[in-house]
Parts: sequence; C-alpha cells; structure tokens
Amino acid sequence: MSQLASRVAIDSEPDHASAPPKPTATFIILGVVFSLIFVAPLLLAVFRSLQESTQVISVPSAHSIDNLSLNNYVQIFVQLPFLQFLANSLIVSVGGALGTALLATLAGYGLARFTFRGRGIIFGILLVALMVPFQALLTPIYLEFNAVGLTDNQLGLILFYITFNLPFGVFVMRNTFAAVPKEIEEAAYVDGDSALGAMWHVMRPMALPGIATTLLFTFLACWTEFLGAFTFLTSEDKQTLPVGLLNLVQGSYGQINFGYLIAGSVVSMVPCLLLYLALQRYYVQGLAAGSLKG
Amino acid sequence: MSTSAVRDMSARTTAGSTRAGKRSRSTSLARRGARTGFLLTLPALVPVLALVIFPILFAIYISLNNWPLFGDIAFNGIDNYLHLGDDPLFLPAVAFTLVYTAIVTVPILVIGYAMAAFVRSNRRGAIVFRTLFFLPTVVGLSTLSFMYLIELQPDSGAANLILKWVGVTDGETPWFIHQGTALGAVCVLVIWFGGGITMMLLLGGMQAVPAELYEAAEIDGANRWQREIRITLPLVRRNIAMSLVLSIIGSFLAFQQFVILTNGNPGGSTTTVVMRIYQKAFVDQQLGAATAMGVVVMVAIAALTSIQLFALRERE
Repeated sequence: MSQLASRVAIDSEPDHASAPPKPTATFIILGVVFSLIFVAPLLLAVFRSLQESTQVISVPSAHSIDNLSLNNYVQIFVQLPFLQFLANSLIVSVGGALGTALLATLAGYGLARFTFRGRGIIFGILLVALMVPFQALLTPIYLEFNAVGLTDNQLGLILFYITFNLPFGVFVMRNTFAAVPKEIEEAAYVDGDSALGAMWHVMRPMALPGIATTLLFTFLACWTEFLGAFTFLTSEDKQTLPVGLLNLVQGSYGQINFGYLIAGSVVSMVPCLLLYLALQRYYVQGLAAGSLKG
Repeated sequence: MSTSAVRDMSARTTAGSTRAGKRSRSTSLARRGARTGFLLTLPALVPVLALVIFPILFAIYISLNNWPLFGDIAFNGIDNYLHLGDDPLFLPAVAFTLVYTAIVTVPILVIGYAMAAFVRSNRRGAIVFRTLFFLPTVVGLSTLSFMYLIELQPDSGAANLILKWVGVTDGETPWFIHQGTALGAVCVLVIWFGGGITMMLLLGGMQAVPAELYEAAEIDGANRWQREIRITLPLVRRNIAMSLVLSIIGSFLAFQQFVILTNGNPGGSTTTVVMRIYQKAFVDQQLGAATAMGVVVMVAIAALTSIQLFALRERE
C-alpha cells in the first residue's frame, strides 16, 4: 500500500524546473511521527483482525501473537450474513455512484453549454440541495418512500444517495465541461452530430477526469454512509456493512465477538484505502471543487 | 398601380419574407438548443425536486400535525414547536451537541492548519505525508468508530494501555459509564479524524500564496513564525472560515460515532440532536414532533451556511 502511495505521490508531483528542496531531518522525523499517529491505528486494526477473538480484548502478553490467523475473516462469512452485507454495500454504492455520475454528466453538460429559461432556477435548486442537511429531512423522505414502497428497499436507498450526491456531481461536471474549449465541440456539430453525439464523441475524453472524480467521491460517500441505511433499510438481509457491524456491536448475534467486529471493520476499510490511493489525483480535484460550493 | 410600384412592393415582400424566414430559423435553433439544455438537466432535476425540495415543504406540513407513525393524523398548528422543550431529551441533546461542537471545532482547525502548513511545500516526502495524514478521513467515521471501540476496552484497548504507560490512568477506564469520559473519548476520535479534511481544505489556499511574498519577507528579516502569522494566515482566512463552517455543521449533525460508541448512554446523556430526531420519529413514533426538531435544525444550518456564502462572496 505504501508503494502505491509513493507512486501516486510521484505522479502528482508538479513539474518544476528546479528539483524540489531537499527535506530536512526534522521534517522527515516529524512527518514520520505524525504519519504514525494517523496510520498506526489502521495498522493496529489489521493486526487485531488476525488475533483470536479472546486475544483482541485481553491484556497484551507474550501470547498475544500466538495463533495469528485469518480465522476471523473466514468466520464472519460462515457465522454471520457478512457476504450479504458486503454485497448490499456494493450494490448501493455502485448503484449510487453510477446513477449520480450519469445524471450529473447530462446535467453538467446542459448547464455548461446551453442557455435556457429556468437555468438560474435550476442552479438555485441544486444549491439548496447542496446545503440542506438530509438529516433534517429523514421523516418526510421516509413517508414519501413508504407511500411508494421504497422503504426497506435498496432502490430507495440508491435514489436517496443519488439525490444527495447529485448537487456536488453536477457542479464538478459543469466545471469540467465549461473548461473544454467551445471550438472543439462546434467542430462536432459541423460534422452533423447531435448534442448527445457531440458530448459522446468529442467531450467524453475530456470529461473523463470529472466523471472519475464524481464516481470515486460518490462511491466512497455511499460505502461509508450510515444514517440513511440505518433509517430506510430495516430487514437484516438488506443491510449495508456499517449497519450490519452495528448489529454485531449491539449483540444481535449473541455476545459481542470482537474478533469478528475488527475483521469486518478491516474489510470495510480496505476498499476505501485502495480506491483513494489508486485514484488520489481525482479525489483531490473533487475536494477542491466540492469545497468551493460547500 | 404602376409597374414600378408593383415591382417595388414585390421586392419589399421578398425582402420581408426573407428576413422573417431567417428570424424564425434562428429562433427555432435557439429554441431547440434551449430545449436540449433543459432536457439534459431534467433527469437530475427530478430526484432533487422529489427528495429535497418537496420534502422541505412536506416537512413544514408534517411538523404542523400530530402525526403518529401509525394512526390518525390531526392538525395541531405550532404545538409541536411550542412543546419541543417538553421532550425530555431534545434540549439536553441540543446542549450536549453544542458542547461537543464547541470542544472539537478549534482543535480540528488548529491540527488541520498545522498539518496543512507542514505538507504544503513541494519538498520530497511532503506529498507522501499528505497522503498518509488523510487516510483516516477516507476510511470514514463508522468504520473508525468500530475500531476505536475495541481500543477503548478496559485493560486491553490501546488507548487505555497508552494512558497507563504514560502514567495518567490505571488503564482500566470504562469510558462509557460517565457522560464526561464518553464525550472526551468521542472528541479524541473526531479530532483525529477531522484534521485531515481541514488540512485538505486549507492546502489549496496556502499553495495559492505567491512565493515572492515569503521571499520578500525573508529579505526583510521576518522569521518563519512571523511569515506564517503576517502572510499566510491573512491570505487563507477565507479558507479558514469555510472549513470552520463545514466542521461546525458536520459536528452539529453528529450521529454514527455516538450511536456506535455510546448509543446515548449513560442514561441518554450523550444523545445528539440527530439521534433524538431519529428516536422521536422511529422509536417514539411521533413524526410530527420529530419533524419539528428537523425543521429547527434545518433553519440553524441554513443560518450557518449563509455565513459561509457571505465568506465566499467576498472572494469574488
């Protein structure tokens, strides 16, 4: 993982005529200490997940590293409906990310390239959506979903995720399209393309970084989301990872098994880390775009 | 009618019809463009209207009714708002959430600022450190809360063992049986988690500061600390304002870290506002009263956000 990190780091280093200044010893020592503060707990979790469940919560001794194994990982799939949680998390996160990216790309293109009546109003609506905390709207959304059979339904949760990630996605995609020179697009129109054709043939290559940013951000947001899944899904077999792990903590499966809990946590952590390290460039772009609008 | 007049008239008609034809063609093109633009935004507009704009209005309506989860709904005006204080946990939850927000906000900002200042250069290694500092943020607060729960176990958890090793405690602290220790434990997690976000939000602003300013100050004999206070800090103050507002909003909406770690215990004393809204709606099954709480939160957040918008407007 650190190899991945350093490769990304080298890639994203801006080109400078002169070599970057040499790091001082103090800089390195401080940096390593701080890095440990942020990374060591995550590594500790990985170590814990290899311990026996009783060792996880016993006073550390020379025997704490006896019997390290992948047993917890095997058991969460055998003893718990963990595969189901994992599949559910994948379904809602992939669904949320793809849906958001698709709708945001269309809308971003429409807003960046066309002037039409109501454009200002649509912008205003998206801005409102960006700022309203969904936490305050749980009850009306729940009643709406209930009326159309979307409570305890993963499709409902996916729609919820798409809606609350869309404003961010639309702003990212609008900025992406606005940055493409108009002449390039006009050439496509001259060649007889329709608006969608122009978007597909000419703009697509240039829009890909924006789409990657939207996909990555939305996937991670859905993967780690808690309150929506907790509220709108009630059956255990529909639950996502974080809420499934909460059931474990609250003793739905008998006495809390801390070995299972930590192994489950590591399984939900790893995709986040890998995606971030592999696509860091897009993540940072999205953060910059998102922070401008809040 | 003379022939010349007829010719004149026909000429005028031709000219007129040509002009009219041109105009109608360009209007229809513009109209088609306008229609395309609208049609492209429509698929995004529909879910936002259905699940954000409509719920805002619906929420106001729900909050004006006695609205049980099951059973008859009855209009009761602003009763739900008047009786917010009668709820045994709502005002304590507001107070608790405000205290929590007040505790974590400044440390998150200071640590995030220090981290950003540390990794903003293009020194070799700075980008690697930046990546590593940000890892907890990427993992998300729910997963981190589960991991932290294990490290807070008396006698075995790393947090307790470190405190014992430093000599502060005996390592047997059961963090979640007192409000104060439970709150303190959650605050440590959130400060550790939240520094990374602030770092990233400040980094952009810091890197936009022209290097010449630092060079000039250095020639004038300003030391590193003076340069930070006199140059960097004023130039990133809008980034600071923005990250402060985002951090305050995030803290005020705290939910999963408390559900996972304390579940409101002991005795509901670590219940946050959003937790109370959830309980009121789905445990007490009083949607009207719960929604009134939600509307209050929405108004409070809107007020905070307008501060943020104001800070952003200044930039232009």
